[in-house]
Amino acid sequence: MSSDAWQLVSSLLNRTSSGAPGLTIEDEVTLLYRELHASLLRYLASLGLPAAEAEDIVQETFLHLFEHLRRQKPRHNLRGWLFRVARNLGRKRAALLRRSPIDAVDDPASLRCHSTTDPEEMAAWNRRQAHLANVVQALPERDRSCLLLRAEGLRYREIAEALDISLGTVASSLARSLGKLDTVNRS
Amino acid sequence: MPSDRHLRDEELMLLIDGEVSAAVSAAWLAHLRDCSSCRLHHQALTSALRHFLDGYQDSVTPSPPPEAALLRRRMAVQAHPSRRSIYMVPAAALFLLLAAGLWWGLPSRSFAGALPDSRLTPGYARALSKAEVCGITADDDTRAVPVELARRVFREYRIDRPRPRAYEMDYLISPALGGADDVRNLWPQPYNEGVWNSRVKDALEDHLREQVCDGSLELARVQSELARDWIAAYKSHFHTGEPLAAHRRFVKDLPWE
Ligand SMILES: [Zn+2]
Repeated sequence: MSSDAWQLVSSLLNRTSSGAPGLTIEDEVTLLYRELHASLLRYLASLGLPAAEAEDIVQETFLHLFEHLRRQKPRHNLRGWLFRVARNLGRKRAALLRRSPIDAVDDPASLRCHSTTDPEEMAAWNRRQAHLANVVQALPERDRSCLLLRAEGLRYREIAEALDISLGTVASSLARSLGKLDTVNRS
Repeated sequence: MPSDRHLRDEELMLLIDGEVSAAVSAAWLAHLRDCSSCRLHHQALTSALRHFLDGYQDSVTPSPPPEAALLRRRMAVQAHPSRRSIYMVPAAALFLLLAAGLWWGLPSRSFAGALPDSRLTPGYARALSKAEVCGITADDDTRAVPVELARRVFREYRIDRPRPRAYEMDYLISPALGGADDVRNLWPQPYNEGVWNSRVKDALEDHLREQVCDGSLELARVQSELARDWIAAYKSHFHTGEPLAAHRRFVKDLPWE
């Protein structure tokens, strides 16, 4: 993304009043969709949704945004709002999929293999990644979501909005999870 | 003014992530300077966070590209739901219509379905160049079928009194790909019925149009593929035996908040 487009997107995400001049609502929604697409897919994968379903939910999420902006609803904390809508739609879809398990064969996002050629280094890296993944997987959903949304670059107020918890809860959840990860790193 | 008590874990996190005001931050940092116990804790959390973020970055796999064209199309339909879907009837009424058709002894090919009757709807395109087709705006693209024309199509398909909500009058070759407002290019497609519904066809048309306009497919070829068997075209272009989830579901219910 060019730096101009980046500035536009961040002004949309941090804006509190009306839309950007010269942009239609469709344009705004499309810009934000492009910007947050990958993050939302990763977040939905962490909720256990297969990739094909996740794309569909991201689309639905932005159709909700389209309606939200068309009705001139509040624009503060749009990023938090988008993750919150995605989370609600994702959970509904995941519940549906659990009722028809044939569809739910896809593996949620797993950790990628490291691109190094040194087998020893790779093995060590893979061990550490696997270890890390295990600890993260074992976290309660809310703690895992906090950690992942933090890694996706969301501010605490955005994470709080997305998960419907207080800002203090975000901070203590992150501290608790990082405490567990710290123990892993030392061992 | 340094804080006169130890900092709690969540306060250390707020400090590390720059989530507190400058004044609070200064006070807490002053405490850290004087308190080795809090300092150690701060360091441990900082390095755990850095390790986690590094590991997370490394584990990120490339995401599939965004499907912005599909999203824009869906926004267009959401904004003007009546422009394209005109005639829809409840499922029960549809069943009655089909039963009546059987009784009349019509060949089954005459029934409205995911594929049109090729004798009634062979597909018909306007004589447009690629440049003209690619210059078509979203407004032209989603315009409604003229009512008189739609009535003629229903008559051809022997559907006597189509009531709202069971059919969508669909273009076999979409206007955005040069398809004509012509009885030979229209058929009543059951709305939201079966997997091969008009939503899925819309997604295919968006995809084909992009390919035509970026020069990777011939307009004439695309038109004839749609006219021959759009479901087969979908399967071959998306390399799948059934509609992709993103194309299958089409949200029209009220926005959740
Ligand atoms: Zn202290």
